[in-house]
Amino acid sequence: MIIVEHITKKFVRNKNKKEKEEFSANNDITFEANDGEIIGILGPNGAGKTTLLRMIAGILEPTHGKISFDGMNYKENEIKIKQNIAYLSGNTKIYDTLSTYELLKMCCDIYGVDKENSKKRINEIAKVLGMEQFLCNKIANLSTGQTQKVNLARCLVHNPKYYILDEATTGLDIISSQIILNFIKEERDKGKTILYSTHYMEEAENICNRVIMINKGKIIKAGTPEEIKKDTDTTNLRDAFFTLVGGVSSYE
Amino acid sequence: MDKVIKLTKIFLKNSFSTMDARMGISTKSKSKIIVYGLLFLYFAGLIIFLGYNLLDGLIAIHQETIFVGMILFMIFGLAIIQTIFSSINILYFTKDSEYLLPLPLKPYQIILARTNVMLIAEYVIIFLIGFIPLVMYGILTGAGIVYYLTMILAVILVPILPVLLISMIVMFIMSFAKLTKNRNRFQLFATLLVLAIIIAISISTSGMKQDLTNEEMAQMVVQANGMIELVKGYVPTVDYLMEALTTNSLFTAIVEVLKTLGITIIGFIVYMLIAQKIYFKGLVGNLFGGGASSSNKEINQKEYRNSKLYKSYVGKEFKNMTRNPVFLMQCLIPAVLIPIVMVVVVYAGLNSDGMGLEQITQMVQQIPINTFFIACIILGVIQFFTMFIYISITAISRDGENAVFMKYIPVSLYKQYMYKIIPNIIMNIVTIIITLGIAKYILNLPVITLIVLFIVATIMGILQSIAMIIVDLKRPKLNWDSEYAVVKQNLNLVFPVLLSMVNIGILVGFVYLLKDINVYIGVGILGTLYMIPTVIINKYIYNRQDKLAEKII
Repeated sequence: MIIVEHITKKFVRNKNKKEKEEFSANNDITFEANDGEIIGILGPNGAGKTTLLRMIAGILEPTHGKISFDGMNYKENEIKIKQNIAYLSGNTKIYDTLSTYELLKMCCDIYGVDKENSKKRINEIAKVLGMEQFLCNKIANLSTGQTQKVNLARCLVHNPKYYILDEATTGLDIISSQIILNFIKEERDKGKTILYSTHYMEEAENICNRVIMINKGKIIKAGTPEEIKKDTDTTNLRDAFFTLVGGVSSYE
Repeated sequence: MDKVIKLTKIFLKNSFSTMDARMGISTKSKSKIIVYGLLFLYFAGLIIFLGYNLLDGLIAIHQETIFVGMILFMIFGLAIIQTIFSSINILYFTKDSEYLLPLPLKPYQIILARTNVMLIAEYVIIFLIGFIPLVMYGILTGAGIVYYLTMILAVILVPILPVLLISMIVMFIMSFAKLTKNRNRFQLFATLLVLAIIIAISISTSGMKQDLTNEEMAQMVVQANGMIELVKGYVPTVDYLMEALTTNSLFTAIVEVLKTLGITIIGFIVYMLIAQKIYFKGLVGNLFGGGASSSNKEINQKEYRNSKLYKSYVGKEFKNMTRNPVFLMQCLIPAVLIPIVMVVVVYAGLNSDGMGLEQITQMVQQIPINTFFIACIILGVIQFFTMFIYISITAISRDGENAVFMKYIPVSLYKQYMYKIIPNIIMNIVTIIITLGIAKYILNLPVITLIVLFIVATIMGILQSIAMIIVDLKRPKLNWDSEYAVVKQNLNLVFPVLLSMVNIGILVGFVYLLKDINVYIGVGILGTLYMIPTVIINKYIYNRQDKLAEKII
């Protein structure tokens, strides 16, 4: 179980050439993610989803608030927590001079996966994600869909317990997206805890058990997709979001 | 032409200010101007000092015109070497090529703009090593206005042909579609090929005028300005400009400049004609030739064997450098190449004075070798060589946006910093071994002295490696479009040079203070003293490992 309590993250930015100002990327965020649950983090670009996930993944330190994983926090158990996390960010070509296999093997070494298991895991993941054809190819030469599969695969070699997935399907075609979404659902069914950030509302409606809607760094609504639709008197999460923020005009 | 100028501006701006823009630093920020200004003053001062002493000596023996020849040759040679290193990257491996091709631009506009970037990069350096010494020559020899006008034209014209020539060779190599399809292998091949060219140039220039008899040589020295003949007959444009700069006749100067201009224009036309035919073939092949075809290679059982974490991590660092030609050229190769090229150059210099290796060895063996003074000189030379190893200073920046990977894997940041500096320490050791090997061969130093020097030089290398990764952590360059931005257009690269200069200064101080001390005691003191900051800086990076990673997001 992941517990996020009153998380706030403040940054300092240049207001103009001389002045600086403080702004909150996240403001007093609180929620829980249970085992065997996919929590959707929804919101438009710049809502604060990535900052929130980076804090949960231990990349950024919150200005205020606490994050715990089955009772453990980063201060006391940083390495132990990271040993159990799968963090996937964006759609980047990580270490693109390596081959897919070399990257996965390196991740096995980093996460301490032994020889037998690393062979088993790499083959298993390659099969599930359909990566056998390009296991020996350099990442730099892969297509967008293939690269994202590699990105996901490198997060999985150590059989993590917690998944923190930031826009895992952005830029992918319908087939690649579906393979990844199916995989996420299977992991959920195995009892894994999954935080899934996206700005595709339909996608979230399909796979998430619960959804947290964020706008301008704050939670504007949380609940199951059904509850949110019912509370906002809408038929889908897209309409529910616009109802909550007061329509597109509030962004113009 | 307007589009060419605009493109050139964009390429230049993109090359030099990506980092500043992302960090919100204005390109005109005071601190940046001060840093560049100080650097410029430092190097200009150094060049004036060295140039003045050399020119003063040459004037005393009435051989000052060879100074002009040497400078023009240096500009020509430097333009060749610089272009070998920069042209592959500027022409082919900048990431903006993919965005550029669909734009409504004519091929010649892109080629011209790319060539301009290479030339402008040359002129920045040539201003220091060419323009300043030639102005100094004019002042010291009381030259007139014609000299200065000719000199400006010479400085502009000399680097053009080498830039065009090397670029053409690179384009020719890159136009082989079959080779470019396997992009990574080809990058390595191209890198090794240009290295071979550098070594060939070093070797061929080391054999200059060796066929001269002692009598001919003596005649040249005795005859006023006779030594200029030594540098004539290799490059026509350099010959013409040498003549133009050293003649007293205005007519001759104009004719020689016009001859150079004519050759340059012909060279430029040929370059443009060939480039328009072959450049885009290579560029497109390089950009899209890799493809995502499946590989037939199978992973064997052995490859699944467990690797220790440090092996895996350090292996990843080495793979990242060896498989990327820019990183390979700038981070790994200098460790091996610089000591060897330097030795070839020094040997060639001595050889041209009629001294063979045997004579050199015999001569140095007549002076006391196993002294603290010689030990400090060797350590100083090692410092000079290792300041060009950019592994640690780019350890974080090389990962670019992937650097954030460090923060979410279950390995302490301190351990990762150490794994990242291991390649720097290894390459430092390679340089140390090569340098000590050469020292052993020439000076025949006792083995024990070599071992002691190895230990102290390694300690200095460790200190440098840790210090430089701290610099990179504090000022990382993570958002880049071309690897070139990390290893060339990165102000951080000044720091290893500064540290080496400080170390050389410390060594000079030690020699001055302890010149008669026993070599082992002296080097022992040095080693102990260098251990202290090494331990302190190691403690610092350990204690502040999280804080130091703040800029990695």
